[in-house]
Amino acid sequence: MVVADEHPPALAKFLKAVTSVKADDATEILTGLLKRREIKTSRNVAKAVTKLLLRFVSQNRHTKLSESQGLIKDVRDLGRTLVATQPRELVIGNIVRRVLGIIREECHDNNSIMGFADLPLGGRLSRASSIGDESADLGSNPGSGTATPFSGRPFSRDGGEEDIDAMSRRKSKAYIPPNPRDLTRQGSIALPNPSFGENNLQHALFSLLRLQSEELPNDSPGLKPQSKEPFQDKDIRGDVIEGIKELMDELELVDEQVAAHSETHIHANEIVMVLGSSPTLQAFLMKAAIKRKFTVVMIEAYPNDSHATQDVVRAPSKFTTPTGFKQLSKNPRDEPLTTAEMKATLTSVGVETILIPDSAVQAVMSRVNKVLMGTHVILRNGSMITTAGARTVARCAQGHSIPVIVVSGVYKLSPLYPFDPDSMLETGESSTVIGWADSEIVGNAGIMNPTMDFVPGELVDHYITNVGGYTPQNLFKLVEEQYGSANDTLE
Amino acid sequence: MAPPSKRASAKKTGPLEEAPEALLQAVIIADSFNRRFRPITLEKPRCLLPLANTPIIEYTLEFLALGGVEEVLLYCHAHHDQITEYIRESKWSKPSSPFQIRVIYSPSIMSVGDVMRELDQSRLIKEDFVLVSGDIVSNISLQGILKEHKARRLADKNCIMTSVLREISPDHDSRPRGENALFVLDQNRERILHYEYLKQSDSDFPLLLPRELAKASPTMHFQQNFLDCCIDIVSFEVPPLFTENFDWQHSRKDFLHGILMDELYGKTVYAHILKSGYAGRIQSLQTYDAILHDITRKWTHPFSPDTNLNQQTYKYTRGHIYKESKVILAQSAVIKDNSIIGAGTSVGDKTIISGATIGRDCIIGKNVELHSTIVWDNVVIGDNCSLGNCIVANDAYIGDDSIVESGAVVSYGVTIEKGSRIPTTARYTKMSTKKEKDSGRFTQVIHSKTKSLIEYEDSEDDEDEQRETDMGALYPPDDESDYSDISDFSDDDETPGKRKKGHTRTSSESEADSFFREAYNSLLGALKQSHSVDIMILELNGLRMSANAEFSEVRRATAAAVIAYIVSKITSNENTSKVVDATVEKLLPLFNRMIFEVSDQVELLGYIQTELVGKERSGTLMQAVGMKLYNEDLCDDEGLLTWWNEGNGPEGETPEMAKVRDGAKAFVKWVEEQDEDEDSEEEESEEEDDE
Repeated sequence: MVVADEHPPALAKFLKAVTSVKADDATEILTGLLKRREIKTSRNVAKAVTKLLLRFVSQNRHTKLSESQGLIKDVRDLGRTLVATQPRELVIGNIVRRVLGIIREECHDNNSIMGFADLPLGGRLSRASSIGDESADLGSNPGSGTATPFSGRPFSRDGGEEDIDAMSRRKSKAYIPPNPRDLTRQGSIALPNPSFGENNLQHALFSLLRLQSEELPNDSPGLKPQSKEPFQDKDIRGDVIEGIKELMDELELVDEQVAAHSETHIHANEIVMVLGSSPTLQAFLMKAAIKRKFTVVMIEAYPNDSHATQDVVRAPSKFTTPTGFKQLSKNPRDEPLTTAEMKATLTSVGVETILIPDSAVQAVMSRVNKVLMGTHVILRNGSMITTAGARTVARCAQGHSIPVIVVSGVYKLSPLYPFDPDSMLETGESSTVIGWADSEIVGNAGIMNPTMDFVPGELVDHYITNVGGYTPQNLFKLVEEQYGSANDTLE
Repeated sequence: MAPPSKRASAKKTGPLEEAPEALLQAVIIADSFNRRFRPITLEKPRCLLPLANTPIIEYTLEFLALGGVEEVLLYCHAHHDQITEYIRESKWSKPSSPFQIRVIYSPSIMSVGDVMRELDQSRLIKEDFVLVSGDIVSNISLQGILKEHKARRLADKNCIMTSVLREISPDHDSRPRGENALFVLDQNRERILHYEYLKQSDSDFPLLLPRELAKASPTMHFQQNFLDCCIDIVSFEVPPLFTENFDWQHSRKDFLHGILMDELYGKTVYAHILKSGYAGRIQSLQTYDAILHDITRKWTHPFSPDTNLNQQTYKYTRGHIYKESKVILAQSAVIKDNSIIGAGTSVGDKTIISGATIGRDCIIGKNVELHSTIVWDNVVIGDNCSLGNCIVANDAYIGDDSIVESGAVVSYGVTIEKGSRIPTTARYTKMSTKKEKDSGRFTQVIHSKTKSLIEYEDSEDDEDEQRETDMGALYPPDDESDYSDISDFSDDDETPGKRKKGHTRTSSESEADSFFREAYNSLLGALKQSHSVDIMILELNGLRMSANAEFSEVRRATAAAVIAYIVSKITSNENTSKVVDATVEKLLPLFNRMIFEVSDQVELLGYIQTELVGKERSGTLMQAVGMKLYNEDLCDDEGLLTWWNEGNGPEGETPEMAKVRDGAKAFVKWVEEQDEDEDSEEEESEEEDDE
């Protein structure tokens, strides 16, 4: 199920425009929009960048397998341009790296089909895994099937199955390096086994990593094969585009997938302190509200996020309360939220909501059971960048030994390490702090409005992503899964 | 109304899909029509000067892009070649630009009014448009304002403009010094009922409001605390209004004031008072400094240096410090808060930079102190210098041990000798043009290095200059000292604006006086630009009705204007009668509309007589005018003789007036005789009198 949510005008404008102009022009349009901050928030930026990359790849002159290095280079260059445009929007780099991963994987898949890759694993198996995903999906999540079951992307998995992944991972906690041989065998036999997907994925990834490490330096994935066999230089563009489209679907579905975890984290009669107003967070709470009765303490996040936060709390004027929500809440169900449900506010569905000023966090903290936050970007070492004030809240929670849980789509996970966290933080308009007309203050005091905060990994207890839950210490595994070991320097 | 964004996307889909709705257009006036940035603007137009190391025009264009504008008409005059070149090379001319930009140059553009008239003729405007000048810095979104404007237009057909205003406290740094305007707003602070441009010097100047105003709206807000950044949403009906009122120069003082004063137009203007966001206009060096200050301190976010609007590489660090890559700082150099340093700049040992803006490729020596200094590109500053809040333009060289005080301006390529001390009021330039020599006083300083240096000083001895100095402005010698000249042909002393200014200063001014002033200016302007008499009649009628003036006032104004015009035209005795004849003949329909009775004739002649007092050849003129009026049947015997015999003008006879009257003696005598004889030999006698 793709939620047809409304985009902000600038994003809608761009998404429409991008299909009709040349990729280079589209890049410049996006550059302008990003610079003017017409497209903000990680989600919208991610959507715009994905769409741009789709356009870029479909117009790129490198279409053949043998030219894949050229395509990778072009995409990387584009990525560098975009990252330079808005260096603090780390999600740009994430998306570009994901797309680079898609291209590399296509190369690898095709090479292995040809029989050149002498490694025991490859695209075949990862395909099989998607079939497995698909069948698992159909049971739990009928509306949200992946668009292309045979795309050969091992990463393309969604909610229902991920849940199980996450569970199994949580159970084991320790990362067990899979034995490739073993897994191959197991994978080829046990198709319907849902846990197979993950193993296979790791398997496929490993092969991918090994392949890359061998292939990339000499830059010739297509040349070696040519010497051996009557080589068909396959057109990989179509597959790459499929891969990017899947990424777009992932961006649409992410809230739903994250929300699927809500019931395991929010329990009856709990008091949950919430910082942030992101749609992911909202969907998470709404989903929980279907089954559970709990209290939400919203932190106002003045001044940058206070309006959005209030909107979450405010009774809806333009959206009516979803019909039958109340009844449904009595009969627990596993269906995804409808669009109307996503848009309903917490108060409208009967969740007791308390709005507190930022200064009262410490005072209220002792009363809450857990703290829930959205995030702007998650970094490799488990730290994150999010709404200003989050660090104080997290530190305060730590003082009270209250768990801090962060919900986020996996697309926000960045492989970067925060060597200089300050440089990743955006500073916003000073006028949101104080009116500019007030000359007595404006002329005499320095005024600063950091819109983001750096929260070190120690202060976060758990990350819930659309591919499962992770502790900050284990995030690096997810980074490897998402981006492989290829090191694309975009900054 | 469909949201503008929708239309924007329609445009971007290329020429194949013609947008059904009209494009959102914006008109940029990339000329300030004043000389406040002299001498810097001798070499570069104001809109291309760097502001936080990005040309000012970029901020304006980004602001329009943010507002969803789809077509930009950029009017320029001074340095139009540079502006055209800049726009052509910029990203705004690429297909990816959010709008189409057209640079229009016309040599006749001398004021905002001229631009509007040009616009009216060009027929490029189809819909309501955004009117800004080329030096706006703002991060507000126009979309909401446009929406409001459109809604208002539907409700009130007469609404022709929405102006964006910002409240500001009286002693705010960004408030333009020496400029003040009073806005009278209605109850809800939405409609602008009246606008009055105030001069600092005459603070006890009585405010005149149209009588109807109080009747129509019993509650009014009088607000003087507005920062008017001249961002207007203007109806397409406005350019024709400018054509109609050819003497309107300035969009505020003339247009806004005029349109609101005149009941006949029946037009309404609304204000949008900003509640959030930043908007400012670089009107003077003082506001330039203030806006730079705001940009550095992130008030204009996202338009701050680290957004890198112009392909820079600025990075932001805490304390509002912006550094581009490849900046070389000595270990012991200190960079304090609110500083901007461009690429390739090197800073020497123990140098302190606090709150300064430094461009690219500058070399700052050792032990230098820069406090709030504005340094542009390629500047060399020697060791042990100390610079205050001054501007150092591109390629300037400041020798070792120099001191430049706050407020000084060092223009392009100027070399300041070792050990100099540059005072607050100094302005140095290498440029010297003939024009400047005419209007300003120059001290030429020849330095040992044979680099000539010209101290630029504008010698317009206006009291307003004094005023601006008194205001304690950062840059006291704002050489364009008189705001009212903003729209003038700055070197032409004969412009209506100046004369108007003169009249404004007369302390006790009644409504009649104000009518007289307006009518006089409009007529004289019309005569000079040889507009058709129909337009003059229309104009005058409009003025008369709006001011509720008597015909006697109309006659007085006409007499004054006509005489002033004739006097200015006459160069020798020979062409006196020719000029008089031509003028009066041209204005026949006008005179016909103001003379009804004998007493009117008498009065007109009286006014003419009064006006002629003290003028050269007054007697001859009196006779010529009187005769012409008589010949054209504007005056009959009775009127002429009554005037003659009454012996005193409306204000009593003075010796000077008697002198004027005596000039017409021969003619009157002749008329008297004619009256008595009732002879037929008119032609002959006329010839006699002609000599």
